[in-house]
Amino acid sequence: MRRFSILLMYMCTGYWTWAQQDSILLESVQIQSSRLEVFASADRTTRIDSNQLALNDGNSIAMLLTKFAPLNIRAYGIGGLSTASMRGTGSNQTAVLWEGINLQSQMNGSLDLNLVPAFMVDDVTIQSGGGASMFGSGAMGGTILLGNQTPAFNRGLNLSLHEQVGSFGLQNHGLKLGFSSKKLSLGIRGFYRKADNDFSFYNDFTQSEETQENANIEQYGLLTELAYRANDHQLIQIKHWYQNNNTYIPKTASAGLPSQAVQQDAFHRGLIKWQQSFYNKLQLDYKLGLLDHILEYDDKINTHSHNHAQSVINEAQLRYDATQNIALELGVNHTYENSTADNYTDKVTRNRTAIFLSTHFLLWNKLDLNLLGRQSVIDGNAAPFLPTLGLNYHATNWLDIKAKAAKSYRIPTFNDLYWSGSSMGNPDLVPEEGVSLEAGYVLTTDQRFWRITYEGTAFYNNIQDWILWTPTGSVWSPENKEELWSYGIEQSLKLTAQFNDNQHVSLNANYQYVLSTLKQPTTFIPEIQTTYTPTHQGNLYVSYEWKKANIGINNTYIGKQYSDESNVEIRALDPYLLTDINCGYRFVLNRKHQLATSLQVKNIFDIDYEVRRAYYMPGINYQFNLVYKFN
Amino acid sequence: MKTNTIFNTLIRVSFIAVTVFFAACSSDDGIKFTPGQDGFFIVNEGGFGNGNASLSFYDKTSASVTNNLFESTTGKPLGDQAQSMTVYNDFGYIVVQNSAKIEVISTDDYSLVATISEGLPSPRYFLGINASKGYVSDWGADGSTGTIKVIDLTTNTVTKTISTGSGTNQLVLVGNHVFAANSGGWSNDNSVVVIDADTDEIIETITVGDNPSTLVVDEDNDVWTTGTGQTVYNTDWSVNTEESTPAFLAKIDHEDFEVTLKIDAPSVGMGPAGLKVDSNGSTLVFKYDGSIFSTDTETVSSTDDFTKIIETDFIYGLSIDASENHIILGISPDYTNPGSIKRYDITGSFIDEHTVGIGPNGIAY
Repeated sequence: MRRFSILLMYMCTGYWTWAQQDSILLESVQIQSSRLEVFASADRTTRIDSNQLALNDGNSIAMLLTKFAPLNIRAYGIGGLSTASMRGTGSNQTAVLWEGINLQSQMNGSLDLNLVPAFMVDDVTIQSGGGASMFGSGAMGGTILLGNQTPAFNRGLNLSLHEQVGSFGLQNHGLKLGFSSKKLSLGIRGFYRKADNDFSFYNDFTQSEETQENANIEQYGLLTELAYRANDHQLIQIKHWYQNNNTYIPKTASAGLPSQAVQQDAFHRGLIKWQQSFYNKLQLDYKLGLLDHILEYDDKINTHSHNHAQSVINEAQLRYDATQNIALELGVNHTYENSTADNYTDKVTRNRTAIFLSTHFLLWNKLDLNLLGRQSVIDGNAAPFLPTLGLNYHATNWLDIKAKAAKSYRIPTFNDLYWSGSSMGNPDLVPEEGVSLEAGYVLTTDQRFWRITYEGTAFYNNIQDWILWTPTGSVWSPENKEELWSYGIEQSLKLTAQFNDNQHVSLNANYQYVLSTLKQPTTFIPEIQTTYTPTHQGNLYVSYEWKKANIGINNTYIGKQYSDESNVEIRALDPYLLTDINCGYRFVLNRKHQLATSLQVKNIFDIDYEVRRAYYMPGINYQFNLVYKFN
Repeated sequence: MKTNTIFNTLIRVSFIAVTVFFAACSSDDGIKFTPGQDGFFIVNEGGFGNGNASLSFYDKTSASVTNNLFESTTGKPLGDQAQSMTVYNDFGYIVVQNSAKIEVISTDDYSLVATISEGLPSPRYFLGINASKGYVSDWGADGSTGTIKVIDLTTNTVTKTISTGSGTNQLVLVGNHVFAANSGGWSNDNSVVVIDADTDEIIETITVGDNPSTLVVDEDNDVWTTGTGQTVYNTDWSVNTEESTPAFLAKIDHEDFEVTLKIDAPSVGMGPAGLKVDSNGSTLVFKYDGSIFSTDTETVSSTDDFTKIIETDFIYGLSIDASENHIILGISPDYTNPGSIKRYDITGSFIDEHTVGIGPNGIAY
C-alpha cells in the first residue's frame, strides 16, 4: 500500500511528496493522529485521499467534499453559503473542527465550507454519526476534521507555487514556503483567489437564458505555522490563520431585481499546542485556541449589519497507554465565547466547561471496545451526559463487524437565544438531544497488486427538542418543538490496483441512502422527507496513472430533493449526475525542481441543474492547474 | 453565514405580515365581472426568497381546490412573493413582488397572456381603470420610493410613473378618483393620495396617520383605511412606547377628502389591519388583536364598537367573497408548509376548510 501511496503522490501536484516524506514523526508525540483510530474504532471514518486534496487545492472544501465524501453539501449557489448535512441532519448538527478546535459559529451554528480553501488544510477526515462524547456540542450527524500536516524537521528550505486559472474569471495564486532545522520548523502559506462566477444558465422562472451577476468572490489568506521541538518528548506549535473573504451574493433566480449584496468575512484563528510525553506511556496534549470572526453584510439598500464573534478555547488531554490493549484519555475543555450583533441587545457571552473520558480495550485480541463519556456545564447548568459505546469485532483477517450507540447534543446558538427586534430569540431553549445507533461491516483484502476495502453501515438517529423558528402572529421565535428521525444505509468501496511499475488504477465510491423526517414515521419510507436531503446520493472517482501522466473521472449523483417541507412534487429539484474529468502530467526537471500540470473539465456533459431552488449552477467549465515545486 | 439574509427574510416576512396583512381581492372594482360565482383564485405568497409562490383555485361546484394552477398550466413557476391578484376584464393580474413582475393570465383557460417585467421594481397591487389603462402600486427598489405605474392594458407595458410617497400599497377607484395608501414600505409615511385617473395627476394628499396600507369603499362611496402605526425600538430592541404610534381605522370623505373619523387602537401592534368590506358595503371586517372583528360603517365611533366574530390560529389572509358574502381566511401556520383557506359566513359561522399553497394572503375573482 505504501508503494501505491507514494506513487499516487508522485503522480500528483506538488507538495504531497513532502507530506509523505515529512511524516517522520516524533514517535512519542502523535496523539491527535491516532485519536480517532483508538477511541472511535467502531466509527465509520473517511479520509479524503491526499491526491484528491492536492488536485483540488484551488477549490474550496465544499466542492471537494461534494465530489469525494460520504455526505451532502447544501449550497446556496456556486460561491454562496455551503454547509454539510450528514445522515439527514443539518449544518448545526455537523461539527467542523480545525486542529481539534470547533469552528462552528456560536451565532448561527454553522461554518461556511466555501470559506475553507483546500489549499489551507492538509488533512480532511469525516467521522460519520454521533461523536459528541469526543467532540462536544454539534457532533450529531457527524464531524468534519480538518488538520494541517505534522511539522517536519531537518528539511531545509522548500517551496511550491500553485497557480490556477479557470472559467468564469477564476484565478488562484498560492505560495507555500517551508523551512526547518533540527529544532525549529516554519511553514508559511498564502493564497489569493478570485472568481467572477458570471456563468450563463437557463432560468426557468423567466424562461430565458441569463448570466449570473453579483456572484464574484475574492479571498486571501495567510497561514503561519511555527513548531519547536525541545526534545524527543516535547513539541510546541503556534499556528495563525488569517483570511479575508468578500462574497457577493447574487439574487435568486426567482427574484426580479439585481442584487448588490456583499458579505465580508474576516477571521483570525490562533492556536498554541503543547505536546509532552512521559515514559512513553503518558502523553499530555494542551491547546489554546483563539477565534475571532467579523462578518459584515451589506445589501446596499437598507440592511447593513455587523457581527463579531470571539472564542477562547482551552483544552487539555491526558492519554495513558497502559498496555497494548488498554488506552485511556482524560480531557477537560473550557470554552468562552462572546458575540455582538446589531440584533443583540448587548454583547452576549457563554462559558462552557466539559470533562470527558475515552477508553479503549482490546479484548481477546478480537474485539475493540470503546467506552466514552462527556459531561458539560454551560453557564452553570449541567448539560445532558453523553455516553458512547463502540464495538469493533475482528471476525477474520478480512472482516470487521462494528456497532455503536451514542448520545449527542447541540446547544442553541446565540441567534436562537438572543435575537431581538421584530423577531425574538428564546432564552428558554434547551439543547437538542440525539441518540444515534449504527452497525456495519468492513471487508478488506490486501493482496500484492491490489487492495480493496468495502464498508457498509446502517444507521439510525433520533434527535429530540429540534429547534425550529416559527411565526407566532407576526413575531418569529425558535422553539424546541420538533423531533427528527433519520435512518439509512451507507456503502463505500475503495480499490487500488497496480498492474506493473508504471501503471496503477484507483477507485473510490460512496453511496448513501438517507431517509429523514420531522414527522414520526409510520412506514419505513416516511411520508415526508426533510428538505434538501436527497434519498439517494453517491459519488465515484476512478483514476489511472501511467508513469508521470494521470487521468481521472468523477461522477456525482444527487437524487431528487424536496424544496418544500410538504414535499410538493412540482417544486422538487430534479436529480442530477455530474461528470468531471481531469488529466495531468508531472515534469521532473531535476531532483530539486518539479512542475506538475493538470487540466480539469467540470460538468463535461453540460448538465443544467439547481443546487437549491432558484440557485442555478454552471454548465461545462474548465480549470488549469500548475504547481512548481522546489526542495 | 447567511445569518443576516436568513434573519432579514424572517424580518421581512414578519414585516410584511404586520404591515400589509392581506392582499386586496378585486371586490372593490369588480364591477364588470360577475363576482365569484364559479369560484375564486387564492394567492399563495410563498416563503420570501424561496421562489415557491403559487396560485390555487376554489371551484364552487365541486367544492374543491386545485393547487399550483399557474405552474401546471403555464409550465412556469409563479415566482417569489405573490402579493396580490386582481381580475379585470377576463384577465387575472397576478402581482409577484420579489420577482418584480405581473403575470397576466386568461381567466377562461388560465393560459399565460403576458408577463409585465419591465419597470416594476417592487409591485404590490393592480387596479383596473378602463379597458386600456391599469394602475399598479410599487414600493421601488429601495422599498420606500413609492409610485404608481400606469399600465397600457392593450400592450401590457408600463407607460408612465406617478410619484406618490413611500411604500404605496392598496388602491381603490371612486368615480374617476384613485385613492392610494402610502404604507411606508421600508420607511414611513402617513398619507393617502388621490389621483385623477384621467390625467394621472395627484390632486390631493390626505394625512391620515402612520403608514396607512389598506383601503375599501363603503356603500356611500366613502373610503376607509387602516394604518399599521409605527413601532419604534429602543437601542436594546424594546419598544419605545413614547415614539411609537398605534394602528388605526379611519374614514375619508370621498368628496371633500376630509378625514371624518379616526379610531386609534389602545396599544401598539394589535391592529386593526387587513380591512375588508362586505358585499353591501356596510360592514367592515378586519384583523384586530389576533382575531377577526367586524363593525358597522354607520355607527362605529370607537374600538368599543368592534365585535369579535372569528377566533382561530395562524390567520394570514382576509378576504370577502362578495358573491356569497362569505369571509375567506388564509391560514398560514408558517411559510414553509401549505396553508389553508377557511370559509365563514359574514357573522363568523364556520363553513369549511381547504388546503392551499404556502402563505395564502388573499383571493381574487
